[in-house]
Amino acid sequence: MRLAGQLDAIDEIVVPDESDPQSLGMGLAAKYDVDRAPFFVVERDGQPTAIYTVYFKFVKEVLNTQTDEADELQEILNDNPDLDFI
Amino acid sequence: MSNPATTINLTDIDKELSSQSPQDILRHALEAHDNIAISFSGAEDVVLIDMAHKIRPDLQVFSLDTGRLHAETYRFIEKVRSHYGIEIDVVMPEAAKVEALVKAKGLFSFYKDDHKECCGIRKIAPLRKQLLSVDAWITGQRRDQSPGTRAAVPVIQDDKAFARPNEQLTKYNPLANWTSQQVWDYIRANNVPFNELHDRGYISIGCEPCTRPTGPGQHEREGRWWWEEATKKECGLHAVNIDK
Repeated sequence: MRLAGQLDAIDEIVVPDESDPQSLGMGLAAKYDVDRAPFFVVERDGQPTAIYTVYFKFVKEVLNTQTDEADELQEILNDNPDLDFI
Repeated sequence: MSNPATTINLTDIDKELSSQSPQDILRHALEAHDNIAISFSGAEDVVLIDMAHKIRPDLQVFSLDTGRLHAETYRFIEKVRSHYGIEIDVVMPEAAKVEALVKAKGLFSFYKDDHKECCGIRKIAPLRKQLLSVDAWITGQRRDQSPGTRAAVPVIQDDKAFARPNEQLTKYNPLANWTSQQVWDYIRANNVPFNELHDRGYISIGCEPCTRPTGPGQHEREGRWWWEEATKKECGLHAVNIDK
């Protein structure tokens, strides 16, 4: 994200500490029922908070940036090994 | 069509559905969504079609034709179509993308690279396109299909990977907590048609180049992409893991 200049769009980065369930990052994961990192918490005025667990969808839908289909498909398969059996 | 993201807590529903039978889970799924489809791989997930057909005969079914399936699997898909009197949407990858991959890397690139690039183009891309047209989908995924699965396969989940922008796609895995034995007990007890490859030692069936029969004591996972380090690791096949 740094190389792509996307970090400028991020207000805050929180690192979940798996050894500390009380840490801010783990608290956010529990609050939004997320079990993998990274995930993106997007707050927009007048709209409910949106949670993105798929990086390319966040880049496309929130940052309005084109992504490479091959990268998108790779991310899907890496994050969802169960799709091997579809 | 619109299926706006809701605040329904699928984790709570998962806890409730997890203790129920696949048939009850399917009934819940089919009642909750008008626009829902079963993903049929041409293998033992035929049990889903058998179960669902008893609940809703006009069910939507699709199969991902990667272009590299076994002839037996193609024949089986047709057999299922005719046996249940249903339409099966046979979904294919984008020809130009397949041609570009083959032109660049040949017909068997997955034996050198890992299988994800080929699967991405032949299977995941058309799957993603197909899922844009439904509000929910059903798969035959089971926890026991992968010996090294770190996370449980939930019975119901919020599918964020394939949902339309700002909408929710619900994924059901009614067989998640069933074993292969339970699937086959059902197939035999209910005279469900099955892929003839199963009688030749194939437990898990995917594309022809990447699937092989398994022998006694082997996990079904060893019949898929067996040359890859990830498979060896997952199945504990490295020499250091075998007690001498």
